Amino acid sequence: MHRSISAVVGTVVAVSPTGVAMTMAADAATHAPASPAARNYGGSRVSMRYGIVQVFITVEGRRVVNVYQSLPTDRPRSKFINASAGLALRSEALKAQSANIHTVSGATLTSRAYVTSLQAALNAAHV
Amino acid sequence: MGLRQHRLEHVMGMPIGVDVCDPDIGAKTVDRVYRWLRFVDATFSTYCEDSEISRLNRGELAVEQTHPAVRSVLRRCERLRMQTDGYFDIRAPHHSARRVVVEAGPARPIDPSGLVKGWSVAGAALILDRAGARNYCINAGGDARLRGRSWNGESWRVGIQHPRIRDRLAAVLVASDVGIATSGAYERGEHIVDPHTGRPSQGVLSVTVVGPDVATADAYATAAYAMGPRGAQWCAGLKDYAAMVILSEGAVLSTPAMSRYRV
Repeated sequence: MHRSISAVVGTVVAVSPTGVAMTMAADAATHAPASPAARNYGGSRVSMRYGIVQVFITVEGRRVVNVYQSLPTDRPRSKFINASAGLALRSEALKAQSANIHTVSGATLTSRAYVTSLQAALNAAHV
Repeated sequence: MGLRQHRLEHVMGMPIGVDVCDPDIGAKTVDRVYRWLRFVDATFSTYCEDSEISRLNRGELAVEQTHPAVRSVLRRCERLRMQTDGYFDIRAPHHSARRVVVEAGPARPIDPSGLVKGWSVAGAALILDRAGARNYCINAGGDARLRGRSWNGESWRVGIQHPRIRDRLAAVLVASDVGIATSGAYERGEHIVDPHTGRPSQGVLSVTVVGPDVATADAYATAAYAMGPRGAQWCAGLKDYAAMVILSEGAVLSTPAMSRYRV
């Protein structure tokens, strides 16, 4: 499919080039927000083989300005493994753009799944 | 002068597009591609009562009696289950917005669709390769295989669908000779479940994986999505595959290899 070229729209927020690496191994209590208006939010705590990982974001107003993780530090070996993985990820804000493209990759529901799901919803609503 | 082959048909419950830009490749080759896709649908679809997978799940067929392709796919699914620490699991219960489908015991039904979609695209690409095609784009419901260049010689450009805004893109990739797969659940309805907890994966809107094989990319994207936010970290450890993870909070995590595809 082809779409016409148009301007990039949406919020683009500059993030430190080191991204996640900058705040690796810091926990939420000691991480200073980027500005007085910014707040940190923690995601769900996920158990990994070497400890607990939790993803945090820093939000200013309605924009995500940073994403970082707390990484397990109690085992020296895990620190190294997670350090390299943490360094490897680049974080940025989600953009919304239009562009001239040939095809789209997305997590679209199959139409059968959609119909099944829709029917279930209709049944529940007694429509 | 040959014609560019551009076809779109509905198979496996989704639109499947085949775009071939080699003048020597004709309609008969594309016919073969869609025959293959319909074979995959008839053999593997859990929505098709008579498919071998459905019959397997009902106990009407033993694994030993199935088509060699079925056995090959099931073996590959088992290898992927181990490789992804159990996050790609064809026996995982299927969670819909309405109810959790709970299956008990060792004979839980299987649903290999997390691999089969990408695998069917890989098979379609093989048909085109053997016919001599060198420039094509196959896209089955968001799983794509690209080779060479588009009709006017320009590089294939792939948009990653924005998970929240329907007619917008989250990113644009320029790629060739790769497979691309995206897993996620943008809308209410069926969700990928974390096989370890049985609950829908939280915190991630989508995972896009790019690499040499679209079937592997499909399975990796499915597994990484099921892992939740730490899926991005798992992807960073993959050899030969790049990933982009869109989190629910509106942030995007990418592995270093993804930068070679981004524009």
